[in-house]
Amino acid sequence: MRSLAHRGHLLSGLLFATVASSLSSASDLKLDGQATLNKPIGTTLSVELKGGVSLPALLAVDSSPGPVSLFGESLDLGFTPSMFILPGGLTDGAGTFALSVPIPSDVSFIGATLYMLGVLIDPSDPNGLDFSSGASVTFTAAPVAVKAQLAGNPLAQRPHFEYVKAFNMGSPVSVAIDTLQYPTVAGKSADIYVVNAMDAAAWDLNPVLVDVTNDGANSVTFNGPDLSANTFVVDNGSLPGFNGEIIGVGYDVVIDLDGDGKFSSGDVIDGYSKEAGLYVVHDITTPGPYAVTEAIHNFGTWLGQDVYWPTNIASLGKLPLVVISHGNGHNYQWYDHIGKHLASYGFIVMSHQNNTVPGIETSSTTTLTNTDEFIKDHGQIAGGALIGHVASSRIAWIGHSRGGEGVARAYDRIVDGTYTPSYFGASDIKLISSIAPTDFLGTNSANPHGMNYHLWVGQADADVTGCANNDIAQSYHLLDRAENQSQSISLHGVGHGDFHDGGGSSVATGPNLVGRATTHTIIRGYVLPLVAYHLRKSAPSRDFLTRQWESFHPIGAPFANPSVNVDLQFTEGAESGKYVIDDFQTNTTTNLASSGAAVTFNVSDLSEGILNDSNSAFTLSATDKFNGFTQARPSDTTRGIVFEVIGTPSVNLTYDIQPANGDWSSFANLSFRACQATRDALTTAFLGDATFEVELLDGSGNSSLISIGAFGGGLEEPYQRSSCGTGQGWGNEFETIRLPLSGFTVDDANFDLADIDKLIFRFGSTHGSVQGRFGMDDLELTTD
Amino acid sequence: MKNSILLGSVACLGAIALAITASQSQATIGEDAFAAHPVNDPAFAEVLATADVQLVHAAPFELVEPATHYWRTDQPTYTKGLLLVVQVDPTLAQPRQTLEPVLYVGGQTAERVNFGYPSGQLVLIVPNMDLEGLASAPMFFGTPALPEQVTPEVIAAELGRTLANGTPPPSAERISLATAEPLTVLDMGDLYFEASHLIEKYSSSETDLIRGLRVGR
Repeated sequence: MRSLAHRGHLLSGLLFATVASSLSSASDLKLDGQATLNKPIGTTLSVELKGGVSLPALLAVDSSPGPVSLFGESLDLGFTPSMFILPGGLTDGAGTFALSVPIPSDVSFIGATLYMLGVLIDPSDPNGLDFSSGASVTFTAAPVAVKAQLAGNPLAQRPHFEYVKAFNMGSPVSVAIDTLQYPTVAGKSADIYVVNAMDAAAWDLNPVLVDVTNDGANSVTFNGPDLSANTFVVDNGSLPGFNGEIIGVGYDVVIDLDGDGKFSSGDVIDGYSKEAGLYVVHDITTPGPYAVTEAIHNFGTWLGQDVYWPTNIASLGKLPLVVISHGNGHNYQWYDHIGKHLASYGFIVMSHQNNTVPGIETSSTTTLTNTDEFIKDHGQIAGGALIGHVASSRIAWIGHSRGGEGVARAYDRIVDGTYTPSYFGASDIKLISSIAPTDFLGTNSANPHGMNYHLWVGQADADVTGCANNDIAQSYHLLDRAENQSQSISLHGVGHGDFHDGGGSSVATGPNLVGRATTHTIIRGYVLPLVAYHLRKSAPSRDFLTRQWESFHPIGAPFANPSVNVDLQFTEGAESGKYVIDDFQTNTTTNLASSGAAVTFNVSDLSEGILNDSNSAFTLSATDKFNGFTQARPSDTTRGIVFEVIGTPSVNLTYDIQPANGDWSSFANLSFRACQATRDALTTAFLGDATFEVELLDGSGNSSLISIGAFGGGLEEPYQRSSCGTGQGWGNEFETIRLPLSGFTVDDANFDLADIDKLIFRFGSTHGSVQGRFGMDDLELTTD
Repeated sequence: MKNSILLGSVACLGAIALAITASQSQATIGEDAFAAHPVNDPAFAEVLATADVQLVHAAPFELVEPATHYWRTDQPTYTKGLLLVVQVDPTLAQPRQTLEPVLYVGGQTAERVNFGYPSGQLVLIVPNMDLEGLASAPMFFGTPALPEQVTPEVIAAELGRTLANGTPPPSAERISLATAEPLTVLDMGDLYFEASHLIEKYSSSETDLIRGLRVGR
C-alpha cells in the first residue's frame, strides 16, 4: 500500500523546494507544461501557476482528485484530511509562480497519483480567491536507460558493423543491434528515432521522441537471425552537421520498443549522457563560422607575434590558445593556414618569433617567453580586443622542426624546474604537437614527459629526413618518449616545406609528391579536431584521430588523390585505465609478455628489441633485425617486435592470457600498433595494405576472429622513397589498429569476454596477406 | 677571388646535377644544399674548410642596453661589436633543421640575423669586436653544430685549424671598402631594425624576415 506518509514526505519536498515567483489574470496550473502527466521518480517536476501579477500564490496537494464544491465553485481537488496547503510566494511581473520539485527516488511512490490545485489570493475575484484548474502527476519507475552503441556503418565482413561516434554530413547513418547481447529486443517491432541529443537530465524532463531525419522514425522488426539482418539505415544523409564553432551536431538514437513515442523504461538508447549518441560533422577543411582578424605585434626583442582571433571575439567567452613555434629558416608569419582556420572556429592562435638558429635551447626559451608575454600583455594587441578572452589554462603548443623539438624541450624545462613561467604552468598546457621535429637534445631533454603529445611526419621530408644515418633527423623519437596519451600522423609525399605557407620549395624528395596546397587541406582537416579534442574535449573529433584514414576522414580531404596516404597512431595514456598486454618494455624474452602472459609463435625470425635501426642505412641487412625502425636512438628504451610471414597459409603469434587478467568485459577496444618493415622482399613483393586476423579464445574454447582490414585499410606499405642506402622504401610507419571488443561477441551468445584465455594473431594466406615482415608494439585494452 | 666563388658555384651545381641524375625516379625539390652537402659526409668538412667568406659591409655598433650573445655556451654580454654583411656560397647558407656549419669571425661565433638563401649574403652580428680586430680575424665556416653548444675550447680549436690552413683575415683594403658609419642604438631591437635595412639591400627576397624585424618600429 502506498501510504500517505510517503506523500506527506513528498509534499514536504514540495514545500521546501526552490521557489521562484510571479503573475497574470486567469489562473492556470501546469506540471511540466501539462495538466496531467506521468513522471518518473528521481526526476524533477516543474510546477507553474499563472494568474494575476504580484498575487500571493499557494498550491494545494491531495491524493484525491475531487471535484468538490466550495466557495461557490467546483474545485478539482478532493480536500481530504491528507491535503496539504503549500505556501508559495508572489506571482512575478508576468503573473507566474513557478516551482522546481525534486521527486524522491522512492520506489514506493511508483503508481501513486497526486492532484494539485493552485490558489491565488486575488482581491478582484468575487470570493477573493482565484482557483486554478486541477493538475495531476502519476509517478512511474525511473526510466531504465538501456544504453547501447547503436549508430554506425555496416561492414562487409565480421563483425559486420562498426559502431562510431562521428559521421560526415551527407553520409548515411545505420543502426544495428545484436539481439543476442540485447535479448529484450529480439523479435520485437519498434520505432527507431534519431533525435536531437540531450543529456540524461533533459531526457528525464522531456522523454518525448521527435525524429529529426527527413523521413521520420523508422519502423522495424528485430527478427533477423544475425546482426547484419538487424541493421537498418535510419538516415540517408539528411542530418545537418554544421554547428558553428563546435565540431558536429549531436544526435541520440532511441529504439522505442513500446511504441509510446517516448523514451521510457525498456527502450534502448545510444546517448542519454553528456556525450551524444552520434555526431554529424560538416566539412572541417572549410573555414568555420567566424571571420578572422590577424595582427602582427612586437612585444620586444624575440617577442614578435602574429596573432589570429575571431573578429567577433567580444561576443565570445574565453577561447583556447594555440601557440605556434616555427622552424629554422622559417618565419612566424608562415602559419596563416593554421592560424586562420583555427581562429575561424573560435581559437586564439599566436605564432611567434622563434630563436632557432643558435639551437633548441634558445628556441624553447622563445616558446616560453612568448607564451608568458602573450598571456601577460595581450591587452596591448588591437586596442585590447582580446582582454578577457584568453583561456590561459587551455594551451596547445605546436612547433615545427627545430621549433617542434623546442616545444618539447620547453615543457621538459618546466617539468625539470629549470624554467618557471610567470603566467602559466605545466598544467595549463594540454597538448604538445611537433611537426617534423629534430632530436638534437636526445632522450632526457627532447622529452614531452607526461603531456599529451602529437607528432606530424612528412615521409618525403628532405631536411628532417628520418634516414637511419642521422638521429637528429628522426622525429619518431619524441613520440615514443611521450609517457601519456600520444598520437601521430604520417603523410606520404609530403616535404618539410609543405607544412608552412612561406613559399619556396617543398623541401621534398621521393615519388608522388603531394605539394603544399594539398598538404594544407589535410592539415586543416586534422589540426582542427586535434586541438578541439584536447582543448575542448570534442567527442566527435576523436574519431578523426583514432579511426584509420581509409575508414574516416574529413569530407574535403584529398582522399581520391592517389598520392595521398595517411597513417595514424593513437595510444592511450595510463591514466585512461587501459590494460597493457605487452609493451615489450619488461620481460624482454620473446616468450613472455610484459603482463606476464606466455607467448608462443610460429611466425619466422621473431626478434624483440629496441626500435632502432642499428646501422646508418635502410639497406636490407640480415644482421639489422630492426632495419627501418627510427622510433629510438641508442639511449632510448622503446621496444617492440619484428617477425616474418613467409608465404605459409597460417602461422600465429599467441598470447596465453593469465586467468586473473582474462576479464576483458569492461574494456572497449583491443589496440596495438603495427607496421610493414621497409625494403624487405616480403614487403616489396606486394606494395599495398597488409592484413591479418586477430582471434580471441575464451575459457570455454569459443573462438571469435576479426580481420584488421574489416574496418577499412590495414597496414600501409612504407613510402617508396629511395636513398638512405640501397633499395626503395622509407622508414617503418606504425599504424594503430583498434578492434572493438564488442565485435568479438557479435552473433555469438556463448563467447565470453569476461573469460579470455588466448589472444592469437593469425597470419598467412588463410587470414589475409600471404606474406610480410611486420613490426608490432603496444598491445593494449583501452577503455574508450 | 670572384673567380673562385664562381668555380665553387659551378662545382656545387655539378654536385646538384649529379644528385638529381642519381635519383632519376624520384622527384627532388628544394634539397639542393642537403644533397650537395650532407653534414655527415667527411667530404663536407673539406668543402667548409675551403669555402670563401667575403666581407661586404662592416659597421661598428654600440648598444646602450647590454645584450647577451646566445651563440656560444658561455653566453657573454656585450655593448659593442660589428654589424657585418658577408658573401658566401648560397648552398652553405641554406637553412636546414639539422646541423649547420657554424660561422666564425676570428675567435667569435657570428650571430646570423638573416638566412642568406638564395642570395648568399649573410648579415651578421659579431659581439665584442671592432675593425682592428676584424683585420686579424679570418672568417670561416666551422664544423656543423648548434652554436649554442659551441664552447670556448671548440672556438679556439676551430680558429687554430683555420689559421693552420692559412685562411687569411679580410685584407685592409677589403675592410676599408666595406666599412660603414658606426651605429649607436638603444638595444637589440634597434640593432635588428638597422640590420633589416642591410637584409633589404643584400638579400631582398627575405621579405617576411624584414617585415618582422620592423614591426612596431
